[in-house]
Amino acid sequence: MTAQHSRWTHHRTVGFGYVAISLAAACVGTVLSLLMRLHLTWPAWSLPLHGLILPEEYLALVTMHGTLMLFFVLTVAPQSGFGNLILPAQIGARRMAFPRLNAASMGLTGLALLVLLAAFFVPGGSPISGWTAYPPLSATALAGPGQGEGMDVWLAAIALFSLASTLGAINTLTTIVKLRGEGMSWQRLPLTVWGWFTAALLSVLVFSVLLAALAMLFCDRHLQSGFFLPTGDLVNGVLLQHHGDGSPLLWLHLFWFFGHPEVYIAILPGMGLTSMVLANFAHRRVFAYRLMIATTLLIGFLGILVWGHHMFVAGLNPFAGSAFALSSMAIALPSSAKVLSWLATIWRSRPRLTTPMLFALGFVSLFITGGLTGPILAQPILDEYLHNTFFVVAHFHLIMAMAGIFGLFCATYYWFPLLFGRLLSEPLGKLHFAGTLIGAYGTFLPMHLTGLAGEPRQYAQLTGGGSGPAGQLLQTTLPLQHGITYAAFFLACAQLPFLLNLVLTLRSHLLATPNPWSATTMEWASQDFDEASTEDKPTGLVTYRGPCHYSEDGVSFLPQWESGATSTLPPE
Amino acid sequence: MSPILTPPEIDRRHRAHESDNGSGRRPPTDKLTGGNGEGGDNWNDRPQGRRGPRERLSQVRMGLFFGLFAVLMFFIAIVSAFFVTRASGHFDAYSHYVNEWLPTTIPSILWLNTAVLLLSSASAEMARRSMFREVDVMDEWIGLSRRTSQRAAAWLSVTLGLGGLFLVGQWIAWDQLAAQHVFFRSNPSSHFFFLITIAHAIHLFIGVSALIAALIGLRRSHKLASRQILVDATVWYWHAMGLLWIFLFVLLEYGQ
Amino acid sequence: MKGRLRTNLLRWVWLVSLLLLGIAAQSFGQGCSQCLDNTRATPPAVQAAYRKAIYLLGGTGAALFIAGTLFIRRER
Ligand code: HEM
Ligand SMILES: [Cu+2]
Repeated sequence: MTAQHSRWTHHRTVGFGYVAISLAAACVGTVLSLLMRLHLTWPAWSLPLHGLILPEEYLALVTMHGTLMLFFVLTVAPQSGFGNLILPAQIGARRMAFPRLNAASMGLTGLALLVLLAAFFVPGGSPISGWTAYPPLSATALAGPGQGEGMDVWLAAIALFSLASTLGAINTLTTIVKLRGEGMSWQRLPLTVWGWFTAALLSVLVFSVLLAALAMLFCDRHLQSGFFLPTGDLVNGVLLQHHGDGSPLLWLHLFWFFGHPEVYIAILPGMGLTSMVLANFAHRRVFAYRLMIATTLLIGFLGILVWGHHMFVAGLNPFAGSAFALSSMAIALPSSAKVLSWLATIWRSRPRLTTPMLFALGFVSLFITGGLTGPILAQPILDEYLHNTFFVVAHFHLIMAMAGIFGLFCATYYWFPLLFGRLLSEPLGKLHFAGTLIGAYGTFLPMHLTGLAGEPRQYAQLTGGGSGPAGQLLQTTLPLQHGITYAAFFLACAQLPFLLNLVLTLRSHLLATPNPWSATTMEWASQDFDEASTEDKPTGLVTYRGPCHYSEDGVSFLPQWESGATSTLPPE
Repeated sequence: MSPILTPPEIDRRHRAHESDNGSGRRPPTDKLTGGNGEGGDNWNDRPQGRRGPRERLSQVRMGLFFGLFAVLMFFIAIVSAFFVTRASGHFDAYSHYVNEWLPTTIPSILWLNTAVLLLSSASAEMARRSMFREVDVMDEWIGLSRRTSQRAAAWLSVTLGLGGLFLVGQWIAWDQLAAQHVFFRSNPSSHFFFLITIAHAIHLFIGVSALIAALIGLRRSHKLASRQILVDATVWYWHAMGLLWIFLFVLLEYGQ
Repeated sequence: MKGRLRTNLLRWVWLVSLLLLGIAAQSFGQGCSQCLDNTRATPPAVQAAYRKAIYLLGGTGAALFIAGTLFIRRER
């Protein structure tokens, strides 16, 4: 067993691999989203070297954008990427429990990305049935150009991804349970670790359900079964040949059983990090620490039981709808408890407004704005109107996409000294934060309004259609549409200072001091040994207390690894 | 504080020239059999109370059990679809509700297969137990004999044979159905029969591969702890697949 | 004094929670017309089957989640 001695299976290598995968996916996904905005606003605009964007091509853009961002960015980077880079150090361990399994699941994830991207190049192009792949459109090649080979490629990619995520989650869980260092009891675990833990437990439980659903969809496509297809279904005027009285509703159940926990997998690590970073820079303890552990687990638990809120207008039995509405309202409670704890932690403190702190505050802001629309959508009556409008798009882009990205930036700025020995430039970081915040709200807040006006999701063209009342209503949203598109481009450009910052910092020779943020969690203790080393020597670290022990007067702090002597906070 | 180290040159020395032939002149060469600091698993890295030879074993077990959670959810998803499809039908042109579900007759060889799988679980358990017989383990750890590994290898081979037999039996069952013109595509119930049995067979095939890996590991691996882990994890997986099969078989036999 | 405040606060939290949940319950059983049509056209046996499947899937998932968290409590 020499696995631990190899650089290839070292968790830092694996973590950087995951980050690279999600960076690549994020770049492609962003370009696709900008193309979507361009087409929505100026339908006559033709893409250089390609020509007009056809309706089915627009749908392909939607599908690939959603799949790339949700699976390969928001699932991979926070959970697997930073999970590998930081988790072992944060629990006082030197490695992951199963290094080779870990490396293998990273490889599988990379392979899944390549397979998915191959969908652009197969005959017919990429699939067009959205990241949720609802049958019957996803079950037959008759449904559109990308639904033949493109859809098969999509199925293969997501199946690989499910497998990889399950294996990776097994590694994460075992590491957290078994490899915590001396003194690292459950109550002393940082909330980030609790986030990773809950997300990993959810991954283990739901990705295999997705895998089962994918297998059944594959059978419907190629073996003439009818798990998800009703009898006598016509697609594009052709009668589907299959046996059985299936129903798309069955797919929706299986898919959303996975899909809702999936969105929590994307956000739970960011929630944990936000708690820790807010406390770090406010020099306070996390408000109601044990309650925060409990709410993390509770959110995970309830997250398993709310999937039906995505199906209120899908032909769900209204009584089931009510039950799911109830459980969805219930999940808003632990979520608001989290928000309250964040606010209470920084309440009347004098926080150091560093870039990671700003991004954490941005996370809180976005989580509130996006979260407020959640309980609205969770009312079946309201959702009947709002479902499949841009109101939903606004909801999940604020709470998941933007909050998730803010969590990722927070992690990057916060842990950069740990990973690269240098501090990212603060002025550039603040510029980056301001631009991203303005861009995020500028892009996604107006979508609430266009959604309320009835703008549907996943429609290639809003203008030039009929001039009925619906068309006229949509006409009135056009000025907003332009604004959204400009804001989206602004948001993309706001990432340039970040890139510049990365390049400049990595080239500079100015090294950061150990523990530059006066942090209390274990990963900052490991600076006196080379964390990246693959040598297997003892960490010699002991955890003496929970995280975030800052004194009341805000002049000294006690890191988790110090046996007694307090350290003084640097003057502001 | 430095751990008790096994000098690294020991595992680099070539075994072939150094065997003892039982004359007792040389210390046992198969040093890396267990104990402190073995295999990059430095006990000093571990917190108090977790410094024992069983730590790695319990890690692997925990990982395996979380993996089995995933497997269980996979089949639960299929089974819940099974219940829905079994009840579903459609209205025909005369507004009659028709349910196309025709229960698939379960070939009786499946009873035999189930018995074989149960037997294989028993022999797998024998292998696992023999890997942990304390007296023999001590002998093997010191390097006096390889009795535990040999015994476990024998039982595992039996398990492998029985497992192979089960898979062949399943194949025969599918063949028998094909002879009666029952294929995957015939009927909603046959979709599920084939989906469930094939998905289970794939999982069992992974188990067979694990058995083969364990048999190779028993011969090749220098560390007793690794050999124990291989056998233990394989056998637990095997038991779980057996249990799962009983659940699925009951469902197919009586639940259609 | 402080303890009293705490229990009082907790009571309020409970009340507000129940109220929030109640708002959802108010819509009990009302679906969109399509859902109603679809449900009315679904024989009771099929509805029961869906119910069973939901319990099975959600129940197993929730049970395993709890089992997972209890499982780890045995570890220090
Ligand atoms: C306060 C708790 C929340 C409630 C009550 C809630 C409720 C809902 C509801 C009812 C929908 C369906 C809307 C529709 O399709 O008509 C929805 C969609 C969505 N929610 Fe939430 N949500 C909450 C929090 C979150 C969080 C924390 C995330 C992610 C981190 C999230 C991500 C999403 C996504 C991605 C969708 C859209 C899925 C799609 O159709 O493509 N939600 N939410
Ligand atoms: Cu949801």
